[in-house]
Formats: sequence, structure tokens, C-alpha cells
Amino acid sequence: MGRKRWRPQHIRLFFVGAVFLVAWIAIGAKLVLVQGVQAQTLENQALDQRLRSVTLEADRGTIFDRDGRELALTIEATTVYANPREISDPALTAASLSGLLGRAVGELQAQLEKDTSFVYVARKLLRDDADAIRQLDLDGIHFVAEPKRVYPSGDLAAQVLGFVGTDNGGLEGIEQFYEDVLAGEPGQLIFERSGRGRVIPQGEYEVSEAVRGQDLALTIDGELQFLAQQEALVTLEETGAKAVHIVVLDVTTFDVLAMASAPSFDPNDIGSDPDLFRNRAVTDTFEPGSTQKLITIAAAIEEGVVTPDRVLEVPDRIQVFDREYFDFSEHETRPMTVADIVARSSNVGTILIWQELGDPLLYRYLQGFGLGTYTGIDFPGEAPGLVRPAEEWCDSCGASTAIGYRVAVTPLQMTSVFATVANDGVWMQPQMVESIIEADGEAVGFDQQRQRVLSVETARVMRNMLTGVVEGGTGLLAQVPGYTIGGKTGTTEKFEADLVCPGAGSPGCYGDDVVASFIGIAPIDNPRLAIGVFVDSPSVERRRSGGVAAAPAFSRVMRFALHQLGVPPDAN
Amino acid sequence: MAARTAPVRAPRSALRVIPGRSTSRVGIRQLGTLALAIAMFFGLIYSRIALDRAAFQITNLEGLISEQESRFDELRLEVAQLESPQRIYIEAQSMGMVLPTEGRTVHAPMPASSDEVGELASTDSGPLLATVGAP
Repeated sequence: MGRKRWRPQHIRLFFVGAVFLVAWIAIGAKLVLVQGVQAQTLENQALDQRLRSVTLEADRGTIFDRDGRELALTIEATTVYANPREISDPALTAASLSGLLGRAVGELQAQLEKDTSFVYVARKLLRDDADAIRQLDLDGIHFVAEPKRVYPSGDLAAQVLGFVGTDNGGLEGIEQFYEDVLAGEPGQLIFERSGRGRVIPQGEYEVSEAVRGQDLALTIDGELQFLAQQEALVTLEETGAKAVHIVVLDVTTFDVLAMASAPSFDPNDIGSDPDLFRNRAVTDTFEPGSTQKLITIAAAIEEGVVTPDRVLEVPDRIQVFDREYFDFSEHETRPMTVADIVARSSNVGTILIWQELGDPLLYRYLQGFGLGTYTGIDFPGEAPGLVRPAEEWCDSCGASTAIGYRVAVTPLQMTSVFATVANDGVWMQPQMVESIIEADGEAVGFDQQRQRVLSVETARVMRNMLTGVVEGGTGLLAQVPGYTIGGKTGTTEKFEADLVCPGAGSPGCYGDDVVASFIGIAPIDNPRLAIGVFVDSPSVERRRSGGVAAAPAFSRVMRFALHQLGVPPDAN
Repeated sequence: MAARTAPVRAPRSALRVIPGRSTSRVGIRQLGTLALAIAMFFGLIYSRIALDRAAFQITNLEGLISEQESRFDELRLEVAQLESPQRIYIEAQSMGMVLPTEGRTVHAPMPASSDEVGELASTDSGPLLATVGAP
């Protein structure tokens, strides 16, 4: 039997068959790879291309004043961005946008010529501005909605409110302190989109709604705050001071009705001076000077060391160990009642009373009035002040402390001292936020710490003594027609940490600058308000004392506040 | 070898009538099924189109809602700006108004009984309460 010969057509047929077989095996293998081994991965990749996840920003809660006026709110704004790769003529696009955005053509053009697919053109524009750009219908220019924080009253209570950053996170003030309450929780939207970016109907669509932040109701009275700011500005100009701070407290609740500082800033456009952002009535300290004599005298009366009508022989200077203390003006040694010592703000008289009171008791009352510790007000960066323990005091330290030196306090702390006397001797934790308003509209308030510092009788006696300061003492300019006012002036040299005293080796010395202050309460028979005015470094001659620099502003703010609260004048 | 004769096949029976289904009834049922299938097919397509159209309408409505919400926000901002004490103060100043430098309280007569309330209300003795601010 001969060998079968392969004919050419058989060979061709064999090769074609083999090629088809290999092809089918390859296709089968690929099929198994795609549909089996890589199925899940490829499906995920495809879905990833179609799926888009968008973070839904939560609306930040609104901040109201005590009358429901909106001080800070969030609106929807439009951010304009560009994809430079889609822009064929950057120069023309930049020229079109320049006028609407108020930006230089060159600067915009440089941005639009970048080798990237995303650049911000303008952040958070209001609708009309964004619509004007939209109408230009420019290639490569896109729009996206973003929440924008706005402060409709401009600089009203700016240092109290603080402000937010570009991402709407609180950076200063109440905005920072209550970040967790105001911010809310962001949501998420997941959807399938087509190649043109449109939502694919019937495609994947999942939404978890953002939870809006809660609202805050402040204790601030918007109108009173405005007037306090106006008066702070006027005083700043009249006295040539570096800064002026005004604190208004409701003495029955310790609600902060106004807290003003000048100079101020607009939180809608914060500028570049961070010094202006600080709410110095809470964050900065000073030596209180004569206003602190209230504590020394009140402690002595409460402890039975002196009575208001006790007469002391008061010289115009006194030596206490290594240090000599003077009254503001020279005078012969003369008999003065305790009430006279308060009215005339006698340093020497107060030191004579301290000598009978002693350091431990003075220290105890300083603590009792809340000095040297945080008041607990709901505000970031509060300074506790400084009161050293009595056992660390030097021989003459008590004398200095009795007249308001060697102690550091904040304007809020010192105003609270007077509010305590007005509140029948009960100190309360000052508060700036009245309530958190929950989603269902329910307002949730806060518990306040409180402690009795003086008896009702001592508080009443002290109030009567304070009227002497305004009616015949150093605070004449604090009078308010129709109302009986009590208060105390203070003029304190400022301690300069960098200044070197003549003959001293190390820095740290009292300079020429002073803090002039007046703190008062009204009406004296049934007090409603305590107001502190603090003038930092007044520079105009004859306007550098508390009675001249601070008392007039006190009078104007107190008058407005009493009218605002509907407090009737004295019957007589 | 003996010759064999070919077997004779039995003659086939003649055509007969098979009693069966009526041709007209079969046609109607099939046509009905076909028509139903076609109707279902188009119904399905129509429902998909309707759903897609509704989805686009929802998208458009959501856009309108967003636009109106944005408008509401801006009006809210405008109201808040109009209520600003600073703006009111400046407006009042431009109208020549000033803050009163002193106030005077006018005490209202307090009626002792409900009859007196009626009397006071019926007389032309002027308002019961007045607040006076002297510039």
C-alpha cells in the first residue's frame, strides 16, 4: 500500500482549519478572561466611568441676634471655573471676562493659558454677576454652585461673629467656637452620567441628603451693638486712642447685649490685619487700676473691717515697705469716709483699708469675683487674666493689688464685677449665645454657673457708694439725665514688656501709655445694665483719664440702652 | 436461477378530508397573539420613553427649584441688608433725623375698673400712652 500523498488543496485546507482553530481558541480564551476572570474588574471600571459622586455641602446654620435679626447667613453662590484646554483664544476670553470680574486682562489670560484642565476664574459670585458671565456663552468657561457665608450688616459685631474660610469652616469668633453646631453634615449624590455629563435616566441614583447646621440665637442686641460700635469709633477719634472696647451686660442674666471694639473689620472682606479680628474684650488683659478698688472696699465691708461711714485720716502719699504710693492729686492729710475714698478714688485711702483687710481676704474676693480664671463665656481664646496666689505676694504686692495693679483682667471680667454688685452680689457666667435652635425650631438654652460673692446688703451699700463717683467724684461725665448712675473711673499706666526702665537691667517697665476706663451700672435702685468702656492708650492731652476719655461714651451708650430696654427714669 | 417477480405495491389510498381546525379561527388567534406581542413591544418602548421623558422633566424641575432657591436666598439677604441698623441709621441721618438726647416718659392714666376702660375708650382724651423723645 503506497503512502497517501498530500495534495496542495489538502494542505491549504489544513492550514485554514488550523488558523480557524487557533482563532477560536484565542477568542474562547479571551471570552473566558473577559467574562470570567476580569468580569468584576471591568464592570467596576465601566461603572466608574459612568458614575459620578458629588459631595452635597450642608448649609451652615444662621446666626441671629436676640431679636431674630440675621447677622450671618449662607446663600447659594456661583463659582466660575475654566478648562484652558477647551479655550481656543485665551486673550479674547480674558478680555471678555475682565470687565465683569474687575481683574486685569493679563492676569486672567495667564491663568487661561495654563496647561491644565481646571482653574478658578471667580469664587462665589452672586446670581446676577454669574448670569452676566453666563450670557457671554464662552467656550471652556463653566459654572458650579457653592454655598457662600455672608454678613448682611457688614462690620456689626464683627469681632463677636468672627468669619469663615473659603471652605466655609469657622476661623474666628462664634463661627469658630460653634463650628460643630453650625457646620451640619455634608451629604452625597451618586449618579450615572452620559458622555456629555448628563444624568442617565433609570441609571444608578443614590442620594444621602446633607444635614443643615443648627441656628444660633445670640444675646447681642443688634441696635445696641451698632450704637456701641458708633460710640467706640467716636471715642477712638476724640481721644486718639489705639483701641476702644465697650461691653454691655444685662445684670439680671449676664447676657452680653453688646461687645464692641474699634477699630473693626468687615467679615465679608476681612482684609489683612489679624489684629482687628481679635475680640479684645475677651482675649486681651490689662491692669484694671482704680475700678478694682470696688473689690477691695466691698471685701472690707463684707468682712466687717470697715463701714461706709467710717472716717479715716488720709494723707496724699503712703510708704508701704519699699514702695511709695500717691493719690492722683496732692492734698493735706484729711478725714475721709470710706464712701469719700471711693468717690475720689483715693489710692492711699484704699491702701489704708487694705492694711486692715489683709492679703488672704483680698485674694479670696478677687477669686470670688472671677478674676484670674476663665469666665466660661462661649468664645474662643478667652484670656483667664492673672491673679497670683496671696502666698506668692511680696510685702508691697497687696497694696498694689488693692488699687488694681499686679493683676491682669479682661474688660469682660471687670464689667462682670460691677454686674455682680448690681445683681445683689451674685456672680453669673456671662453668655453670648442665648440658645441653639434645632431643626424642629426648638430653642435649647444653656445652664449658667453662678455664685454669691457679696451679701445683698453689701451689694446695696456698694451701689450707693458708686453713685457718689458720678454725682460728685471723678465720673461726672457719666451722668445720664433722668437716671441715677453708679460707676467707677480707672486710669492705669500700661506695663510694657519690651520697655527698659531707667537704671533697670532687664526689660519690663510702666510706660507713658494708659488704659482709661469707666464701668457703671444703672438704674441704681433696680439695676438693669452694667456697661464698661475701656480706652487703650488715649493720646490727646486732657483726654487720658477714665473720667474724661471713657465716661462720656458710657453716658451715651447707657442712655440709649435704657431707652432701648424701656427702663423708666427715676420717679424724682 | 429462477426469475423473481417484482412485488406489487398496494395502491395508495385516495386523498381524504381531515377534519380539523377551522382556518379562520387559527388565523384570528395567531393574529391576536402577534398583535398583542407588537402592542406589548410598543408599550414597553413607550413606557421607557415616558420614563426617560419624566426623568428629564425631573432634572429640569430640579434645576428650576435650585434657581428659585437661589433667588430666595438672595431676597433673604436683601431683606437682612435692609434691616441692618447701619443702613437705617445712615438713611435716617440723610432724612435729617437724630437720636434723641433726652427722653421724657408720659405716664398713662391707669383705669381703676373695667367701666373706666370703656369710658376712656369712648372719650376723645387722646392716646393712652405716648413716648416722647426730645432732640
